[in-house]
Amino acid sequence: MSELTVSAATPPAVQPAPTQRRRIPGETGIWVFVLGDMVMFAAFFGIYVQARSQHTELFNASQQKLLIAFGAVNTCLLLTGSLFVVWGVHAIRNGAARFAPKLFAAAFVCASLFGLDKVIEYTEKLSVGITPVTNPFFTYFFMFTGIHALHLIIGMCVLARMRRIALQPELDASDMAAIESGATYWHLVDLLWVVLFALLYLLN
Amino acid sequence: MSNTKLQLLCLRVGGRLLFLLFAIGWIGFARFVPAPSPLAGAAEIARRYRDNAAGIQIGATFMLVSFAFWATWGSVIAAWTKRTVPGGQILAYIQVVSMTIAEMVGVLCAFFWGAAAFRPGQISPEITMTLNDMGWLMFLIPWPPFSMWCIAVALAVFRDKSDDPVFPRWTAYLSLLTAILFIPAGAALFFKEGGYAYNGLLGMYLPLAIFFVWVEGLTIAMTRRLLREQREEREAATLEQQSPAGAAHV
Repeated sequence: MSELTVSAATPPAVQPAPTQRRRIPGETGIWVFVLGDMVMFAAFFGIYVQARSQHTELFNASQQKLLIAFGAVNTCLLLTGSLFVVWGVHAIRNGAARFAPKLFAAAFVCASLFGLDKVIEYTEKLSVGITPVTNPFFTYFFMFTGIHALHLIIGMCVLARMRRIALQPELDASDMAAIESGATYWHLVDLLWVVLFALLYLLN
Repeated sequence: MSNTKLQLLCLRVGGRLLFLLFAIGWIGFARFVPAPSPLAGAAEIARRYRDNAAGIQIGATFMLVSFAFWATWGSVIAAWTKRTVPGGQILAYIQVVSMTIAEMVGVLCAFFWGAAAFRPGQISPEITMTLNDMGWLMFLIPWPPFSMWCIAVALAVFRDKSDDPVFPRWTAYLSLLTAILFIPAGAALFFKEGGYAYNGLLGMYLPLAIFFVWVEGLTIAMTRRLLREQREEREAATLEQQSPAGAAHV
C-alpha cells in the first residue's frame, strides 16, 4: 500500500526506482517450463542453421516450395490470438472480468484457424509428394511445425481452461495465477511460431 | 519395516541404482559414449561390437538390472498418487501402465545391443549393424509412454490441492518440461546425421539427461516428504510410550 502511495506521489517524469519489486505474472514454475522449452527450440534453431549452411542450395530450393502465405496467415492468427489473451487478462485485472471468457474464446478460435491452415498446408504438401523424408529441409519443416502444432493443441486446452476459470463469478489468487500462467504459455506458443516462421519460410 | 521405511528404500535405492547401474553398463562397459554414428558402415559397426563384445554383453546385463529398479521407484510415486490425489486412481494406473511400457522399452534396447554383441564377426556385418540400429532406435523413438508417465505425474501434482501437498508445484512443471523434452528423441527415426540423429545432442543426450534429472527431482521431493512423515511417526510413537496416561487425558 505504501509503495502505491509513494509511486503515486512521485512526479511522472521520474523513473521508477530500480529497487521497486516487480511481480512475476503466473507461477514461478511456468517460467522454468517456458525457459526450458525455449532452450530446446534454441538448440533446434542452432542445428537448423548449421544444417542450412551445409546444404544451402538444397534448403533454398526446398524453401521455394513453401507458400509464404500459409505461414504469414498463421503468424497473423497467432499474434491476434495473443492480443485477445492480453486483453482478456487486462479485463480481469481492471474489473471487467465479464469480457474475459469471450476474449479467451476468440483466442481459441484463432488457434483453431491456425490448426486448420496447418492441416491444409500439410495436405497440400503431401498431395504433391512432399513428405518428411523428401529431404533434410522437409524433415526439419515437418518435425518442427509438428512439435509446434503439439504446443498449439496443448495451448488450446489451456485457453479452454482459462475461459472456464474466467467464467467463475469470483476469482481468487490461485485462479489469477492459473490464468496468468496460461497466458504466459500461450505467448510462448506465439513466440516460437514467429521464430519458426522466420527460419523456415523467410531466411534465405 | 514400517510402510514409510519401505517406501523410502524403494524410492531412494531404486532411483539411484537405476541411474548408477545404467551408467556403469552403458558408459563403463558398453562404452556407448560417444554413441556409434548412424552413418558408420556395417564393417565399422561390426568391428566396434567385435572389439568390445564382452564389454557390451556385461553392459547390457547391467542395464537390464538397472531397468528393473524403475518399478520400485515408480511404484512409490504411483502409490502416493493413488492414495492422496483426487482422481488419483486413474492417474496411478496411467503411471503404472506407462512405466511398464517404458521398462519394456529399456529392456528391449539392452536386449538388441546384447544380441548384436552375441556373435559379431561370425555373422554378416549388416546383421550386426541392423541389431545396433534396432537397439538405438528402440532406445529413443518410443518416447510417448515416457511423456505420458510424466504428464500423469504432473496432473497428480496439480490436482493435489491439500494445504500440505506431497509434491511441491515445481515438480509438476519439471514433469511437463520433461514430457516435452522427450519429443525430439522421436526425430532419431528421420535423421542419420546432425543433432537429431541417435548419436546427436537433441536426439539422444538431452532426452536421456532430462529423464535422470526428472527421476532425481522427484526422488528429492518425495524423500523430503517421507522423511518428515517418518519423523512424525517416531515422535508420535515416543509420545505414546512416554505418557500413555497423558495421551488418554487429552
